[in-house]
Amino acid sequence: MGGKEQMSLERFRKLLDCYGAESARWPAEEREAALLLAEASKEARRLREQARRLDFLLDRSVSPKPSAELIGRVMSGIPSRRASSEKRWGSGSAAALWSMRRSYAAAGAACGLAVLILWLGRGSEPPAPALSQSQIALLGTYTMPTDVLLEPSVVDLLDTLPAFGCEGSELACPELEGGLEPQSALPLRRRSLG
Amino acid sequence: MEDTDEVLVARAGSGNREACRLLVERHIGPILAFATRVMGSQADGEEVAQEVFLRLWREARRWRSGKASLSTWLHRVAFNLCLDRLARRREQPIEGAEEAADPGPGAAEVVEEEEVARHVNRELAKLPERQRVAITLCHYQGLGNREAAAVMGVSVDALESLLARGRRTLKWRLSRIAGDLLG
Repeated sequence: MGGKEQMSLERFRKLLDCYGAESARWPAEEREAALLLAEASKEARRLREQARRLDFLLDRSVSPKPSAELIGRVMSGIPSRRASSEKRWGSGSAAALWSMRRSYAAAGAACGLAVLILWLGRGSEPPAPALSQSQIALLGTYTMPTDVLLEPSVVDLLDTLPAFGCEGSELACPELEGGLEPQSALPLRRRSLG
Repeated sequence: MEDTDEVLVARAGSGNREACRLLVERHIGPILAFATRVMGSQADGEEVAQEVFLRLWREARRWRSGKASLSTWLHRVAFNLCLDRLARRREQPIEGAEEAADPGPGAAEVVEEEEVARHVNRELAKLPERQRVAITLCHYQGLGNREAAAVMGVSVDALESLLARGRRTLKWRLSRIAGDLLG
């Protein structure tokens, strides 16, 4: 209801029933219309006077005043912020652990990033100078222990054939000089080939 | 110039106890009065008030102005705490709890101020909880109808219904002790 609209006596009565006779307690948007009605209507004034009596009785009830001791008690019951944090740490250790893990993960990611930057930086170094023919010829001299792998194999595959089942058989085993050699001696021979 | 509630709450939220003390000193009077009337006992009202400000301290970091004033928020917290305690009280009735005596029709001559106050408090305490809260918020705490409705979590129409029923009951009951005043 707008303030400039005329208020009905019925609504005025309801207003008094709810909020009492004191206009400060009336809804702001209805206050002006209610005051206009109270000025214009004798019945409205009578109803307002009745409501004022109940207000008078209600106002006999005095509100308690807070003592300094109560304020002190309230403040002493308030924990310090640090204590609150510690309590949260204690009660939420899982959350704290998760937080710690996140810190470690962040540190790991930072280390990984640093390694990547170093590696990329290495890749951007200037290219090695081109070698002359004589330098390349010098590099052809093998000196590393693994160079032997590049040598042609001198192992006689026939030596690796099984020594059993050839005697008097029809397996067309090759003719071996010196007869059959025990298998246990083969490794020794291979070693001597090297 | 005094700091606003919003400024003090922000400081309290960052751990400033002095800001919290200022808020307590500023608001504890209305909250104590509200809780005492709703609970019907100053001791219970003080306990509720303590809890309200403890919650303010805990929630200050998250509290945002704009939706409701700090006063409305504090009343709302107090309202919920009072309802919880009253519900527990109903579950565990206290042995020998004082029952308000019916003054009877012959008590119309009670006119002493303190006596009237005692009767008003007693009749207020006997009202249904929500009617008592509505009257306390609008008559004693000075909250507007929308603010009071927000504290109670009801519509303005529902608030007015609670107010009208509560005041009608009080008028009828108090007329037996102060009939000459109520006419």
